[in-house]
Amino acid sequence: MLSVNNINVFYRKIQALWAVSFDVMQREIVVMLGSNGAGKSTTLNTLAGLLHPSSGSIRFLCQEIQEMPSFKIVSLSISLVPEGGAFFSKMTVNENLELGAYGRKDRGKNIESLKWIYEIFPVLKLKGKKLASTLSGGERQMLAIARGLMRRPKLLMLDEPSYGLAPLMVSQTFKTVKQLRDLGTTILVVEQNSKHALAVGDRGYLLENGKIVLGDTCENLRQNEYVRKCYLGL
Amino acid sequence: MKLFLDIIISGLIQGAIYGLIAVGLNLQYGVARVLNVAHGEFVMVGAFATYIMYTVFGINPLLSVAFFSPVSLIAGFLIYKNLFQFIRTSSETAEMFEGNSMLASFGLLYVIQNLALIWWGTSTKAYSYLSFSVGFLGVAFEANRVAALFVGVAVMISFYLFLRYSILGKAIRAAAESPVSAQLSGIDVHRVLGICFGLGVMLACVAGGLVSMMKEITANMGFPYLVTALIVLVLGGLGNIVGSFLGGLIIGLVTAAVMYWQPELSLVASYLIFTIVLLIRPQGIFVRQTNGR
Repeated sequence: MLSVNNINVFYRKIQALWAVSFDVMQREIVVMLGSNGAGKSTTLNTLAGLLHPSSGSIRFLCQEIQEMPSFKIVSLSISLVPEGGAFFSKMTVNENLELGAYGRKDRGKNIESLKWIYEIFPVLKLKGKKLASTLSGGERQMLAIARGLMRRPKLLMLDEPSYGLAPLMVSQTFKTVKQLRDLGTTILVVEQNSKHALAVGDRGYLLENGKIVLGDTCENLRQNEYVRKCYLGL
Repeated sequence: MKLFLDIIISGLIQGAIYGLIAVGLNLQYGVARVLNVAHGEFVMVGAFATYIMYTVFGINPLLSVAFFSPVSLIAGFLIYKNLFQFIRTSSETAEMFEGNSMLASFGLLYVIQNLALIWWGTSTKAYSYLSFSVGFLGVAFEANRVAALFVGVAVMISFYLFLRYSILGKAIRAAAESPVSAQLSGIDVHRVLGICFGLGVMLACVAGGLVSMMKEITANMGFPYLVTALIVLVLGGLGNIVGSFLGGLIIGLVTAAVMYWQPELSLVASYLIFTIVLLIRPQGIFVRQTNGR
């Protein structure tokens, strides 16, 4: 459903991505591994329209999206949950969720999404009227993911969902990721926590210095000598 | 007691005007990051527009204010879209945008002010509307001042409800807190910031219309209002809309009190408050301390 073709991305004069190409199929979890500064977040930000490639193309469901501003990409039902989560700390949990579906006119669908989200994250229902700034780290991550889900996205992109979470919350988060895929959402996840990511993912890509150096099923990647040595520490 | 009430109510009337202007500037600077030094000029334009409507066409000033609100909102939106959005996309950093947009608004200030000087000259103008006196809480006031107070407070309350409960109001608060997160929520941030700038211009024009009912107006009346609005902005906290309105009322009350005892010192008093707030609570007096998590 998503195919990225030879994109080159620059931060002003510094090239961050070099001819990056990869695909995401419907209903799969694709993980992107790489160390700090390898270009993982850059990739997601480019897909979300916060950055634009200087060359190459990005096709989502037969539509070229590489030149679109991010609010339009969001309306094509691609959601990005950035590193550290995107939420508004001065607003209540409910207001945050409501804004997750900003611009969608169908109120019935919004209420439906909200019910669905409360089922996955019951704690958000309990804390609906609280300010987002009063939530714990794990709850904030849930809120950020829930916000991304309010539009029932076809593609959900998660940037370091385990970042800054306690170990128990990390496995909880990945359990949720799996649950979401089983409910029909396609997921592209960028992660430094390679072990967890490879355990839930279907396919994976390895990003080094802005280039994709490896792409395979997660099972094969787990067996790969290089990945085991450099990313799993085995 | 009577004197006390007199000072309080005069202060509130003046303060409501300051509050409207400061809330407008807060939307422009606190949310859209445009330090619009031409803000006071829109107060002047609103005042003159209302003046002309009344003296030439005999149209009720309050009706003019209602009519000019959407007009000035659209005008402000177009100014943002054609000037400041262009500067925003060509500026590489947020700091650069703040500097460049302030310089551009200086240009706007001179253009508007000089056009006004060419058109109206330096003479002061005034008209009389609702100038009979009414008893208000046992003190006699000119009816136009009481009307201005009520309109000012009504505008602020409806504005607060708009920001608090409407989806566009929520989008504005979201864009104020984090433009990137707002974009990722599907909010067209440029449009929302344009609306914020337009609302700022609208509030300045509304305030100007109300001022013209009570006071003499001149082509260079705008700048002192800008200065007061900046003081109020610091007092109430950047991005804090309620704080700006309350800050406006406080400055109005202080000015009215000092005005009574020592008229020469009223501006000094405002600056004194400004300096003290900057020294003690630079984040503004109405900003709640958040625990640094």
